[in-house]
Amino acid sequence: MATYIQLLSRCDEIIAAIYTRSNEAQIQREKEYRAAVKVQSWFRGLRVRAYLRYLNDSAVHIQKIWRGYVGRKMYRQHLAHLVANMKQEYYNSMAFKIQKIWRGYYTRKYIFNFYQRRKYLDNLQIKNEVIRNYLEEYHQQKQVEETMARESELRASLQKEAEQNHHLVSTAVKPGIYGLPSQPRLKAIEERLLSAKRRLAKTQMEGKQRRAQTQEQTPYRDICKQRQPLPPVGQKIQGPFKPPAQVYQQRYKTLQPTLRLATSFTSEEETRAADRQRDWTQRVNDNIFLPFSHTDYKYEPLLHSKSKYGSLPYGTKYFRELDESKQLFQTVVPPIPIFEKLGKTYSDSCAAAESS
Amino acid sequence: MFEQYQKARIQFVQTVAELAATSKRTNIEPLRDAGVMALLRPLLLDVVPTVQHTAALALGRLAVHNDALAEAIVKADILPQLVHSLVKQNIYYKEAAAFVFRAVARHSPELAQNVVDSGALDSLVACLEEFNPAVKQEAAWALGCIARHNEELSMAVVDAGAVPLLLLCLQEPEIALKSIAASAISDISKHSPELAQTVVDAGAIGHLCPLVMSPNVMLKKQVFSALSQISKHTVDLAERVVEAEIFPAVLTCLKDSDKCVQKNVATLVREIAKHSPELAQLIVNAGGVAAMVDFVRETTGNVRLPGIMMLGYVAAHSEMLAMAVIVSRGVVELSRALDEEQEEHIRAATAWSLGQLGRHSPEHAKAVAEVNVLPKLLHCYLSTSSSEDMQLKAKKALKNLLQKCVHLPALEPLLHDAPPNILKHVVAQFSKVLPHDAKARRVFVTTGGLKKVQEIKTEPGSALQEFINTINNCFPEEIVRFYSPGYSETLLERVEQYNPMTAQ
Repeated sequence: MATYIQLLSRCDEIIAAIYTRSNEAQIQREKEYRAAVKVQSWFRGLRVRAYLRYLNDSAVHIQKIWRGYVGRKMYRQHLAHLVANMKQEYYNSMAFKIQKIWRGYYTRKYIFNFYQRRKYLDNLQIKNEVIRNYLEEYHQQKQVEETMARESELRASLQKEAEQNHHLVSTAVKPGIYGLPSQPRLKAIEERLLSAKRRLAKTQMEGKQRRAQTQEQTPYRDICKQRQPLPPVGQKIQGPFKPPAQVYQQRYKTLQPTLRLATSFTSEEETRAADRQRDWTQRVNDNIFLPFSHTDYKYEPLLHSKSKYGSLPYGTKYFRELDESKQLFQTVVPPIPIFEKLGKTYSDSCAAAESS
Repeated sequence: MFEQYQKARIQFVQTVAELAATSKRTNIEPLRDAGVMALLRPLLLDVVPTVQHTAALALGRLAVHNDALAEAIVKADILPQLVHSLVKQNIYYKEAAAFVFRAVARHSPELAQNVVDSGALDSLVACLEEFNPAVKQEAAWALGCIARHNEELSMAVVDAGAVPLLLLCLQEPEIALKSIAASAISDISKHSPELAQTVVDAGAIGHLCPLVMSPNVMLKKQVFSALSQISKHTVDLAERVVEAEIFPAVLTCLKDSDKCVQKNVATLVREIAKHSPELAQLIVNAGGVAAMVDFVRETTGNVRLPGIMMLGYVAAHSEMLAMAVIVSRGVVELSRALDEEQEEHIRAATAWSLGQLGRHSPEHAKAVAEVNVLPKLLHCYLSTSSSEDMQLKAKKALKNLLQKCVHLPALEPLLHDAPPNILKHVVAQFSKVLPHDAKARRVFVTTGGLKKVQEIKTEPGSALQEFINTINNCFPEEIVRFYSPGYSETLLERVEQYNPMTAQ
């Protein structure tokens, strides 16, 4: 009770205190309210932001994984393409090499070989010199023989004359007019023949040496020397081996180039140009044929290509039925592969067919 | 009395024979006018064999050079008489009768036909089977004379079975007989491929080829003539002749001293070379081109015509062979031949050969044009004194060379002299080369070529105008204007109109 009486004495203070406090509280309520709201809003924002961040991260994570997957897939494909291209290029380069070597070989062997041609012309000049020298010497030899024949004729006639004039014969003291044919001349002829023979042999040897030199300079010959030769073909060996004749045939078979190989790529243009040139050179009269009269004929169109409205394009634009669904003529008859292989494969049936 | 008559007859025929001997041709006409034919004819049937064969000999000698007498013999029906009595008589008569046949048949195909119609072929072939070489000689010669004229007569001779016997004659040791048999074979085989094939099938080549190296001039001449007549027809025959391995021994005969032998050898090589590139290649590889070029250099006139043609045939086959001919110095000799020769047909052949040499590629054309051949060909083409054949061949050779020649110094002279249709092609060649070669352009200006090109009158739009435009585009404008005609007048006009500054 005492506290209660104390409290009652301070009633006004208490009420004033309550009032001030509630006033303050009231004043602070809004502030606190706003503060609370602010804190709450901050916290909510925090939560939401965290949540959004979480969502974002998840999305990024998924996208990252997906993009990695797709990128790796692309990378693998790209890598596969790269590797395939690399392989293709390698094969192409090898094919180029083969084609280059083959084309060089084929052109040089069957179409045109510059070095061989030059070598041939050089050797031809050597041979020409040889032949010219030989003919010259033969000619000189013939001349000499002719002079000798004439001399012997003269001698015979002189002998006859001497026989007729035997009474004019000279004594043993004086040398006679018709002595033996002098030795030095005969020796000279033999020497010339001998030296001609030696000279002919020498130029031939020089030609051979020159030819051998040019052969040694080309490296292909060295490669051929290093290459292992094929095993010799002799008796028929025991076992599932082909007969030696067939092996010889296969080993030394000559090249049989197809028509496509043998024609040059520009053969059409070349033949056309060559034909035109040949025609031009063989033409006697170069003047273009000009008709000597100019008569104007009125154009009369054909009845069957005319319709009520003018001319039909039939006969000028097209000549056949316009049904283009049908395939028209094919310009090339395709080759039959099995017939092209006839006689060229190594199978026993073909060989048996050939040998029979 | 009978002896007197006989002696008189013998003397008469012997005198007639001597008078009609080949060295005294002037005696024949008076003898004929004296009616010797009618007198000789009954003497052919005389009892005494001497009279018979001397009478026949006299007849032959009379007819050999005189075709009127030969016709008279035919008309007088002497030939069947001879044929009839040939079978039974002695060798002298056979020889004389064969001589008469030859004398009659050599003049013309009709007379030869008459000889054949009278049945002489069988008797002549029978004569070929005799042992006596003189008889065989006359018979072979007569057969040769008959077969020479045309194909039917040759076929008649072959049908009579003469060829194997002629080949037997070739193997005899007498040289005159061999050469006459060779000439008969040559006359038989020259007409057609079938005849040549018949001759070859009987084995002629094997017998002719060993005779190639004989020393006798006459024999060599006939053998080469026979071989060339055989090989001229087809490739197979030429190949068979070549297979007998006559090259390169034949080339030595190109240097023989006798012109006929040389000519026949050259003909043989030509006939072989013209058939195919392989045969030409064979001849080139054996050094034939060098020998032929020397032959062309050392001989003149008709003798070297086959040599020139052979070089042309070889060059015509392929460009490799043409290069082989050029490398063997053939062009120089051919151009010299073109200068030296007077006869039209030889020059035409030379022009043709040069055209064949130059038509393959620019290198060939350059090699040919360098020896200054183009102006000569142009001159041959343009000169009014050359025959049509010569003009045609020169024109073709020029065309062949101009198509390929890009060697400008050689084309320069043609710019100045050529007629318009050739000028077009010369200018075309210039327009091909000048855009790419600066030095050539300089030379073109300095030698006056640009000036000449400006002076050419053309129609606008023609090909020549386009070529000239191409050439003008290669040069700066001032130079082109400088060289255009009438520029000096325009300059002088400008000089007149120009007022000097000092006057004012």
